[in-house]
Amino acid sequence: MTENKKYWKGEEDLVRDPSFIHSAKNEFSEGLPLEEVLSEDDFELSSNRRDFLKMFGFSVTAVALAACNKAPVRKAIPYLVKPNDVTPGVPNYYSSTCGYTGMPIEVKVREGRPIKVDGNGRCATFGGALSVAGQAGIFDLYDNERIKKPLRKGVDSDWATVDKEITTLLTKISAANGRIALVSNSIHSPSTLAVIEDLKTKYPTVEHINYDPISYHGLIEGNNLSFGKSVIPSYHFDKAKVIVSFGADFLGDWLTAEKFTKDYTSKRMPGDDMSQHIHFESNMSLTGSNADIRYPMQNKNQGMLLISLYNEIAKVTGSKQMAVAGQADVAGQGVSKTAKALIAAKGNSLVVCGSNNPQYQVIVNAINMALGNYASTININNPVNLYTGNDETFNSFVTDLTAGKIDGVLFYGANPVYSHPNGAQIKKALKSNVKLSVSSSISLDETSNSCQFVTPDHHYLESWCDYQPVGSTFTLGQPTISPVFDTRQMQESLLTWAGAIDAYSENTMKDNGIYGQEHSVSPFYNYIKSKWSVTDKEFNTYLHDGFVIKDTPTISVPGMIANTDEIASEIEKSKSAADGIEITLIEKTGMLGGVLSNNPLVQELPDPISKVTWHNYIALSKMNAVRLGINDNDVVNITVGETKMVLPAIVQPGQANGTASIHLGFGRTVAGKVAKGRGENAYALIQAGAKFNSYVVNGAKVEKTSTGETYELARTQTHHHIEGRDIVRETTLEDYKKDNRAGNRYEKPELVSLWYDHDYRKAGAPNHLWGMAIDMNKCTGCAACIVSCSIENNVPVVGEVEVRRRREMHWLRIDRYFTFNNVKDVNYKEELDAVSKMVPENFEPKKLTREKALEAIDRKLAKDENAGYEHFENVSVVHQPMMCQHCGSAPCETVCPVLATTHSTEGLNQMTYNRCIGTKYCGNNCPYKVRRFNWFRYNDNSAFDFHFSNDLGKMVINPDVTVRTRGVMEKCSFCVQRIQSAKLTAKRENRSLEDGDVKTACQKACPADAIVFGDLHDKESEVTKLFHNERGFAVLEELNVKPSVRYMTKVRNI
Amino acid sequence: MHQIDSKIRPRLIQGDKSITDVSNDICRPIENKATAAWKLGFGISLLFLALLGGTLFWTTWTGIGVWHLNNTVMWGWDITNFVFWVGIGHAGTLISAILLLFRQKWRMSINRSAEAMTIFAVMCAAVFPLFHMGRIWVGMYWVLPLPNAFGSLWVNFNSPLLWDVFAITTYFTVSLLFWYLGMIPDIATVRDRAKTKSRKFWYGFFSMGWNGSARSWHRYEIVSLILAGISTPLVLSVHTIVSMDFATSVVPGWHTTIFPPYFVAGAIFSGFGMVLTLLVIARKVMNYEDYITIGHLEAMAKVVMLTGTLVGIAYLTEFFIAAYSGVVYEQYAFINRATGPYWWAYATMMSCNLLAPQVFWFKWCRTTPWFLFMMSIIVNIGMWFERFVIIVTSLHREYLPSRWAMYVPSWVEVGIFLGTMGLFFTCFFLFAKFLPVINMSEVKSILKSRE
Amino acid sequence: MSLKVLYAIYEEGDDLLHAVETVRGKGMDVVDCYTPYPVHGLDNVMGIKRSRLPIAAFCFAMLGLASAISLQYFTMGYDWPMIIGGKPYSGLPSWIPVCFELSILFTAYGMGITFFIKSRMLHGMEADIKDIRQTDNRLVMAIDVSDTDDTSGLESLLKETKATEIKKPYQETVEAVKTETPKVPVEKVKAAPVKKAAPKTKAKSSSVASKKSSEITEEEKGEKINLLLGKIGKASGSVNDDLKLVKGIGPVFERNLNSIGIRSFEQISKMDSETIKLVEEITRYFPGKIERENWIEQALELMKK
Repeated sequence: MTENKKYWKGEEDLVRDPSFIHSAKNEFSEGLPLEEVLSEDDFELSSNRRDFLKMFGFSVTAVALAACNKAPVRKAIPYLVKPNDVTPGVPNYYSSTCGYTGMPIEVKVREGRPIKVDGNGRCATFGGALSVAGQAGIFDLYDNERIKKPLRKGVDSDWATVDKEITTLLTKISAANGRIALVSNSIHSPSTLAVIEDLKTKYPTVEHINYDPISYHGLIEGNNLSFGKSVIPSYHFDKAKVIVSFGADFLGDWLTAEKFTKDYTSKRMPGDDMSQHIHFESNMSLTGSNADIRYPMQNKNQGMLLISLYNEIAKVTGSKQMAVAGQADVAGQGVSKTAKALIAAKGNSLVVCGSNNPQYQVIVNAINMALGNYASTININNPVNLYTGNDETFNSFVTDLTAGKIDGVLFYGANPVYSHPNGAQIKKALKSNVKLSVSSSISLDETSNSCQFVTPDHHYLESWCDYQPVGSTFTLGQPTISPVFDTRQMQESLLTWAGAIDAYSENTMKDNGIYGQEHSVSPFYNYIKSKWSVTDKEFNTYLHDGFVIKDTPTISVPGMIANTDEIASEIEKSKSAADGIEITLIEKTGMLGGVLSNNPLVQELPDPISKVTWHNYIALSKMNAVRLGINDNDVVNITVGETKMVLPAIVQPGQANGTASIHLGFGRTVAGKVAKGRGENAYALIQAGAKFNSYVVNGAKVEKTSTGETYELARTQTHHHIEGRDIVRETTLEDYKKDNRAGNRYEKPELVSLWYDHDYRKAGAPNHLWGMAIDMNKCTGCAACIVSCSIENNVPVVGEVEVRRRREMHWLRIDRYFTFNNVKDVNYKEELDAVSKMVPENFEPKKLTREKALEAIDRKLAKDENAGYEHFENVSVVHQPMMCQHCGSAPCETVCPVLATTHSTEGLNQMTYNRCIGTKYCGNNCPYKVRRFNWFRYNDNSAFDFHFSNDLGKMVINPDVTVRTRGVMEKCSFCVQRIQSAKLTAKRENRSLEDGDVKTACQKACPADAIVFGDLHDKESEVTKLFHNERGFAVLEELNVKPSVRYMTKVRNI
Repeated sequence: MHQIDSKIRPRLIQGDKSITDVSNDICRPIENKATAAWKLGFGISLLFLALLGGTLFWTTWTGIGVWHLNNTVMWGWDITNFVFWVGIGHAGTLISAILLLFRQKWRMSINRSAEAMTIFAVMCAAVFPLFHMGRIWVGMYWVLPLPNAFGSLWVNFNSPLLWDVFAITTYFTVSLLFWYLGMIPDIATVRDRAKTKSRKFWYGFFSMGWNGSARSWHRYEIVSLILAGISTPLVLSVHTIVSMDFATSVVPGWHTTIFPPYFVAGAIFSGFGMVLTLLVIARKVMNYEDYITIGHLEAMAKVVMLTGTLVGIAYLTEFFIAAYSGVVYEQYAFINRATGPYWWAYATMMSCNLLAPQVFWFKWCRTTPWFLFMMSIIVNIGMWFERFVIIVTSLHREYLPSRWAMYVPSWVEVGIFLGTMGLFFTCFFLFAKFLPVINMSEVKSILKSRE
Repeated sequence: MSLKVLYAIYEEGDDLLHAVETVRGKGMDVVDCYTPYPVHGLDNVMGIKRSRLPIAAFCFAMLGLASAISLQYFTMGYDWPMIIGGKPYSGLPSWIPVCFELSILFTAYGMGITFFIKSRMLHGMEADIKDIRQTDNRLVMAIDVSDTDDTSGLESLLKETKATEIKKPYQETVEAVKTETPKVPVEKVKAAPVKKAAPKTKAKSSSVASKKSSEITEEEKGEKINLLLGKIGKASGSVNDDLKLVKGIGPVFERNLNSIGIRSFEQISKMDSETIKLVEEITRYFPGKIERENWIEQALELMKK
């Protein structure tokens, strides 16, 4: 009965109100006001006690959980769809081409970010060499001061507007028959040249002018005068037995120096085949420092020296002498000795000259001709296309521009406002004389700052391009990252303005059946492909390889057409009689005459000779400095004609007496924060002649400022004398041939250990034992290894102030020492004889004592005022790369209180950064002083804003290597991340590690192949062989720290 | 009262004091209000202490880079000051311990303040190894042998720095115990004389219920003797171990076996120098001329002369050994010290440490307080320079000439050093105000020289 | 244990030493002595057994050494061996410093703590004071008189040994007595029965001195007052300065001074170090107070007004 009875709860129930029925279904008639609570709008709303407790409980838990997690919250977005060819943690390697140096490169890409560039070793033309600039160029990609958008009159704009206005103006000017100049850095890209032709078709008044900040006009014009061919020939240093260079820094910055280094060092192995290198120069260059015989020369004598050398050779070969007087001026400057050496190696020698004077180059050509070198070491049929700038053309362009004869200028990469002596005039003309000025560069520079439109270019690692650096070799550039900013590569801009871009858009290509690639977005890619007219498969092969070598033109001896007699007499006539100091303007390693001056790696890279960073200076010879009362770091006034300049000075051993030298590439006024206002612009000193720009400035007046001001240059090495210490060993080829241990036969101390070696060091142990061998004969000191190491290992750039405090962080440094060459010639002959009598030269065990005595004489000589300091121009140099020696009995390990540095069972001295507390004891106890301390936090620190402080700059960081925090010690790790990666690869491939699987960053970068790394337990490995080489020695071996790095005695072919 | 005056030597405590006098005299500063001179001195010390705080904060906040050390000279003023202060810290325990063992009663008037000096100097010294670490926030406990949860590894018992950790902490704590134990009877005296409640409470708290029972005295004397017995080798070991920071390294100029004895002699030398500095002032300002007599000063002057000469002989021995060794690096290190760019530091060291103390052959020099004060300052300067010479001049030109560099301190480093002076004197002023500066119980026992 | 103890107070360590010898020679048991400074030889004459603290010290040293060796072996050689500078894992020579330091550390602290425990010392502990001056300028000898009610013979003996005061027997709980058996046969050196009625209060000041001794001091006091007044002069009957005006003199002290005949500022101003000593001895108050608070000058100032 009761069941039938129905009770109603209230009137609502009785009347079955719908809302009541609905709410009755839920036990809790009100829902949780969670959303309301979470929405911030009105919090007080309807939360009741229970909600409060719920929320409270949640928030307490949340806070507790959040507190457990110390790490800051970072956004990480995983791939939604993983690309086929990207595996997180595994790098991809792509072939491309360095836009700065034209070298084929191999780009290491991690998760879409290029992080390291190495030379493409498969390309035989260049042998995988890559210079400092090539290595460092990757930093420019991640420069957050790049131009991010097209600019119109200095204000951000967009491509559509800019394109429209430029096209309109181009059309207008062209229609009015006004001249339009396209000024570019030398272009050797066939497709780009084709694009320019397209532009010319559209606007017939366009003329293309190549411009190089460092001009090779003299060399090209010299060949034109000699053979009627305006080319730079290919030089083959690997085939030359005797190399004579007149101021050509062919191991440093002259032409394809990285390739020359490779060739040159291949002939530097001691033995019968070893080449001899004779060098004439005024400044102490990297190449000069490697010469077997170096003659200091004043550039004003260069012409006469060349003529007398020719005549000496002609005397023997029986050719006609050049009739000039005044040869006596240069007598005794090594000419006859050089001629003798050249003649002995006739047909296998090479004479090069770095002068920009075409007449000198003609004489050089004549010498090479007389020696028959055009049949062996010089190939004029396979020209180098990297530099095609013509001073005459450009100078007349400047004249026309100033005169208002040019209506439109398009700059493509070129920065003449900065790097041309008449830069100021160009700037003025751009502001007032032209109707259209456009500049395409990746970051704002002096020229683009003066233009109406700036159309930002891609970095070369974002661009498609093809190149033809050398006649026979084509290389391909492919992008390895999507454009970082709203930029467009200049070729596409030109195509757009030429109205030809549509023809190469994806759709058109597809319609024409040319398009075959799946993901191409770049019209210029299509353009290149259409120009190359090869199949997809072939093109992809080229892209994969990164280069194509067409048949190399065979060597043939060209016919000399120049009237050398006439030229010789002209040279004699033009001989400068100017008083004062002669200044040579030279390049700073890796700076490419200012192109890379905003690159912090390049700025902090010590000059291989002076070890100065971050600033330019005037290098004076000791003799001149003493006469002028100038010391290191004194600020001096330099006056050349009307031009004045104020620079700090250094006293440079090896600088020829009466000469000075200044680095180009500094004194930028419009540039990023790294370069801006640093040093002085030495281009201003060039006397812009009608025929060629001379980098030698005569008649300069140098004097101390009246205030006696000083500027402390930041140098990474301040003591240049080896103090008679047994750190570097060297001998002469003659001695070496008699005894392979020559120079390395010192009495070795009995090395006694208080304890036995650990098992891992014993022969036959199952582990690896890593070791490195460095051939001092091959190492030229070019510093490519330093840059490579810094990029690979995330070594911070610390800036000028910190370098000045001797706190540079380079894990690898190159020690450079000077010694006097002509001790015997100066006043110490008697003393020297006494020493020789006391200790016979061939009495090896006592040789060290003898060397010490010689050093003592050296030191005395350095201070001897009577000797006139003239001997300071004649010094020889050694370069010694120095990094962590991974000592078997490492002094640093013993003293660390917290075991932050210990030894691995593979012989590596390891640094555990997160265990390090920074007592710096290890650094003190390191006899090689290779440990570096993080004095500050160098990343995310506005005081050290050199790329590691912003999100873009950080993209270059190698994720395999820890970024060190402040307060910890760091040092070379033998690229342990590469070792591990190679081991993993070998394991995956189910094989044992082979010799050469592991290449350290420095080894990979070394254009001279001076560094060999490998397993010392592998009896067949190259490094083991070198360790047992007669030339092998370890630095500070007598300390018995058992270093894992060995150096090979330097052998000079004197 | 029957006093027996020795004909040969004057009584150790002058002024015909009774036991009551001793208590009255020595408790006077504690029981009276602070004098103006004390307030002034304490104020200045506090200013310097604030400088210490500021500079240390700046260093820790910004990085050790605010010092001007570099990648060649990685230790400079920091470790120089560390060794300097540790050296000073040696005289206290040495005076107490060795002289106690030798039953030298003249120690009794000076040992308390010398021990206090030890404690404060070691505190100052500890500032440097702590703050010279790049990562002090972890370094402070990572150097202790703690299990793996605190770090990835154990510590390295091969490292002289770790020996330092053990040596310095042992030295500090044992010295503190020695000092405190010696003070308990005196604190009890102050307690029982106390009038104010707070004084009664605090001195009562720290006197640990001492009542002067003969049984306690018996044990107390045994404990003192054993503590003295173990403190003596401890003192010697501490500076030996500090010297091993250098001696066990491979740095030319550091790597010498002569360091341990030479450092110990140097430590005694500098320690006595500092004791002289403090006591010449203290005896004047606090009217303790009867307790710290000219005889005391003279005895200390003699020790200074002896140890100064020892140190000087060590300098010369180093030179000889370097020349005799035939090792170019060693030879150069010493030639560079004397004739290199830091020759002035070497010259200062030589003249202050070897030559200057030779004036103590003359009695007038040993017995004239103002002259002694001046000499003590010279000794302090000389010993500071000794450490500077050893550390900086050895490091700045080592094996490879390519890495040779110079080192000039920054204002922060100078500030920290001055700041530790502030710490030292702040502690010392507090000590002089709140604790009996002279060991009353011991002095009372020698009022009648029975020997 | 509970003993009846008589306290004799001395001013000189030598006197105390002789007194202890004398008392013990008579077969009495010296429970303890309380001295402001270590009196050499006291432990010998009291027959205190040589402490075994050195043995403890040695044990602690060995413990320290063992811990050092095991710590270093465990961490370096066993738990996580690392290759450090090519050295062997367990390199004993480099362990020496830590072994040495830890041995010292353990010895010092082990012994210190043992000492505190043995001497019943702890921070903030109430001191067991027999006479407030015992840590300052008086030496106190405690003699066990549990077995006798008549101490007059002993007291006169003590007076002969230059005891300045004698405090009557008190029931006292003292530290267990451990003395070597004295050469002289003593029957009385036995713990007194505990049931003995406990006396009233603990001796804390001289005001509760025994009748006989107070008579003696009274005599002496009289002599001293005479000597004192002879030096500083007697106050004429009418003079009755308000001595409370002198900073440091309160009503109680004024009453005290008045009772010995000092009633004028003039008298105070005439005090010198000798008379001050006398005043202090008579009143037994505040040693050093008069000089510290500079009463003499204050009095001179007040006289001028």
